[in-house]
Amino acid sequence: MTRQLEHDNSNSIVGKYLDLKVSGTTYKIYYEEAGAGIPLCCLHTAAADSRQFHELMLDRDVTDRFRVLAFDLPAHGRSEPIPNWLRETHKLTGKFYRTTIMEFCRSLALERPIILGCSMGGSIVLELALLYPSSLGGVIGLETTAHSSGRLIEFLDHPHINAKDFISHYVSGLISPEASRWNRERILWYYGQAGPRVFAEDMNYYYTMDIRDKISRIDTRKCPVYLLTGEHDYSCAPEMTIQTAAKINGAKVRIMKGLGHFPMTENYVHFKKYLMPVLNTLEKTWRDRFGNSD
Amino acid sequence: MANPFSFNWLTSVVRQVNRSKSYGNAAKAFTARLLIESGPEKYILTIFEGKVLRVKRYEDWTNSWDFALRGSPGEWEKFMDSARLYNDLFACLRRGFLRLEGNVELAMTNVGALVALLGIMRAHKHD
Repeated sequence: MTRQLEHDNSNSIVGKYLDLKVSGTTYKIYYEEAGAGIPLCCLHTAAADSRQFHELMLDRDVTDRFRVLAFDLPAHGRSEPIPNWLRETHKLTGKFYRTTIMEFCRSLALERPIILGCSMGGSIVLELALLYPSSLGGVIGLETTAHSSGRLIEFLDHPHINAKDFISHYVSGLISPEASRWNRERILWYYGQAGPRVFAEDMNYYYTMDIRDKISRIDTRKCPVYLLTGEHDYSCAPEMTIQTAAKINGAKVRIMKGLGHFPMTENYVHFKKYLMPVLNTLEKTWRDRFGNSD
Repeated sequence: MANPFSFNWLTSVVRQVNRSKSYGNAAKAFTARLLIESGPEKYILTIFEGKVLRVKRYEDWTNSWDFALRGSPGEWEKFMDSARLYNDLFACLRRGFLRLEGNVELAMTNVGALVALLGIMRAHKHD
């Protein structure tokens, strides 16, 4: 049976490939976009891909004002694998991650993009706000923390353990119990499609990342910071986001009732209630500061 | 506080487990002796290729087991009720509400079966 997304104008998402040069290596990455206006670049969670943002990209309330883009990191989703992956394990580093994001934005000549990221994407946006405040229109972090721990375990990449099966169980509890069965299945399906060791390496980056002593230097006057976290998330619990926001002068934070670690996919209609005020404010701020978008 | 676990209840749940198709699919290669501890109540489930062959009360150190899932009656009660913060097995392990001991690798190799088994316990908590 084919499940219909709520906004059934599926023609509006366009997928393309882009050759992206990062640290001397060219990666063929896949991205999708919909809409026109202020660029809004979306970052998927560990081991996942841009399908997590499909409802957002089909929402006319957003795409009438924003050019929404979402790319799959190298070796994720429909992007090509890392060269030589059979012999070497590609380590995801903060430098590679943020360089890839900024190179993507530069390659498409995105003017002052707003970056919206979830989970590890929600954490990297803090580094982007810190390092590239003049290049961005703002950042929105979903399930954001400056440091997390406790879920980097050896079983994520173990010869005796079926990684695809294990990961689906490992991730399942992060989803809000209020999410529909279909959306839960979609989230876990995307995780099940990840390439070998991709989840383990993304987790290795995410759970060794620690920017707690740096984020106080973020200047939200140059790059506004908005943080939204689902109440059911235990990988990035609400109190972790609140503690992170407390270190960033001017950062805004809201805890989202009824949502978990994947708010944009679990229940977009409900998530939208939290997202739209942020987008509305950022749109106004963007236009006041930078004029009209193309 | 009443203990959510009892021999009669666990035996009844095991009948449901052995009938469950989804559990069976996940547990095809699940062979283990699983010790479940809820405070003073301790039971060993002997499982062979998914089928729970026997439920036995744990008596002493002479009773072998492969891995154990331990918690207080209160924590098990909350897990059974899917209380907030008790989302799933990994949430409970991370927060220390439940403890996994012994051959943890064997447990994780069969995590799908283990999760399915716990799900059936949750579904029949009032049986």
